[in-house]
Amino acid sequence: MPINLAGVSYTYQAGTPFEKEVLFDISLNIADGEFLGIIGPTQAGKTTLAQHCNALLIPKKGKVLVDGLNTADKKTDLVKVRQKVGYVFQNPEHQLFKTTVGEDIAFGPANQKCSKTEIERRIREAMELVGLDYYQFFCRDVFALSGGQKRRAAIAGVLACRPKVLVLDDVTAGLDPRGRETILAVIRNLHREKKITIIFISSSMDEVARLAERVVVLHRGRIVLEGGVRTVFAQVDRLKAIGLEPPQITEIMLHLNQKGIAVPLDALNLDEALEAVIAALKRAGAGAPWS
Amino acid sequence: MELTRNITLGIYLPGDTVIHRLDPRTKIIAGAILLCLLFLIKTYTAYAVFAAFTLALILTTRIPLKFTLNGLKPMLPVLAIMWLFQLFLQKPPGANVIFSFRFLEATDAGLHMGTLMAIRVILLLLITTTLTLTTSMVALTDGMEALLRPFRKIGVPSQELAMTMVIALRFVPTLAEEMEKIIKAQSARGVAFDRGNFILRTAKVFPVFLPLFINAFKRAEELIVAMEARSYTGGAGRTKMNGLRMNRLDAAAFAALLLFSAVMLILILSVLPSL
Repeated sequence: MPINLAGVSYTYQAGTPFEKEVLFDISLNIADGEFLGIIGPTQAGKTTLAQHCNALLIPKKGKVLVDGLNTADKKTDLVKVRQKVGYVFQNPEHQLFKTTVGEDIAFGPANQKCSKTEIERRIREAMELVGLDYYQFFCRDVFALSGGQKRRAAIAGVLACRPKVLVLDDVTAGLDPRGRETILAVIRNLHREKKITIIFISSSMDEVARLAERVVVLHRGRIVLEGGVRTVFAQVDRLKAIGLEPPQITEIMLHLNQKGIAVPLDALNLDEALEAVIAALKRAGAGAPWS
Repeated sequence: MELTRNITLGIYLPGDTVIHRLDPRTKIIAGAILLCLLFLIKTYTAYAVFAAFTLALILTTRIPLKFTLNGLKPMLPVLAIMWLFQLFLQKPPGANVIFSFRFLEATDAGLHMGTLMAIRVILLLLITTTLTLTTSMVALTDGMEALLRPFRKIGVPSQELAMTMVIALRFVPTLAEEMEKIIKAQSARGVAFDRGNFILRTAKVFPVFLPLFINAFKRAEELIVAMEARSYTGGAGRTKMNGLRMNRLDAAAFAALLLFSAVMLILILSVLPSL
């Protein structure tokens, strides 16, 4: 289920003294089953762009096609569009409102007029997907959960709507390392096993480097870089120029290069980096410098 | 989906016009006097004069008229309902029925009262919006506190009261922004806020207001901690670095206000209310 953005521009509070243009002429195609990372400094328009993908925002100029449906078209059923494209906000407090986890997850399917047994099935499925034990958490008070659990509950609430595309807006922000890893594992699993298209906004370059296949870099409302995750993160200078810190792995490879060890910059994780360094050292014919 | 854009209450637009430069006390007193006048007048002529004055006031602030007027939009449905109530339910003796719809009867007196009430509320909103648009929150608190200070002696906690009012105003746009986010989050889970009949729509406010209230309480608690962490202990013993000072401009403003009030009073007293 592809999403196509063509020449999308957006202005907040149009027609007031607070008018603020946040997106300029964005064109982007998101293919079926893709894992797209969106990065950029603060105020780059990441969230605004993402909210166009499920018609939470309607472009002021240009058009957005979700599975061929134009979101600006009055005849398009936006509820259907939002059913196809799930959106998880950074702050789960923005959507949790029922007393128990189970009831809150049931909210989405209930809005879709699912039968009782269907709702029950979806709750179980969604809780399992995010790694919340059904028996342990079903009756738990949502506001007594930890930050990471709340966020997983929020993701489950969206997954229960059975979206084909999932937009995740900085879902790991403010979590402790363990909570962060759990969420990332959940997301990776959704993409690999459930074949859900993921649009992943993050302020952490490392996370995007580890998960995404393709990356879009936004800066002041424009796409400044776009491409495979390796090509994008290898362009360290351009990332730094707009105030983004490249992933730590890339930084290390960069330092090695400066020290005269010629390694490629496109390693995305520790294993790849290790291989690249060993290969470079072998090429140099020298023994390991630390021996 | 943008709520924030329609809420002008509590927003301050910096500027350098005469109105912006006035002492906040002058503006608060003037606002209070204008509101009193507003509740005294009962004729269309007087309202027309008052509306002209308000318009002149808004134009002096150099804030786009459209922006100020947009702030009225969310109030329009409420006003319309109030107008209909007046129209159909006001039946003083001697009123003539203009038209009837089944058991409902609209009287000329009802029409008159409803219309006057609507104009009154609109002008009231415009005046208060103009005050908040041209006065920063800091200035507003200072002004209110200074005006309430004489009542300290009889136990009115002027500083705390002023602080409470200002915080409440300050958080109007913040809460609106938050509500927008919650509405979006729930829309993403399939709530169609613009569908269904009145009862169905009313039921849809719960998924929005519950998180909003919970967040508001949390925010209040955080704010308390943040204030206390910076040694806020209430009004006792607080001093000001920049005290308020009235100048010629304020004198001129009061003179203008006095003149306008006199004109209004003559209008109010000379033309006997038609009802």
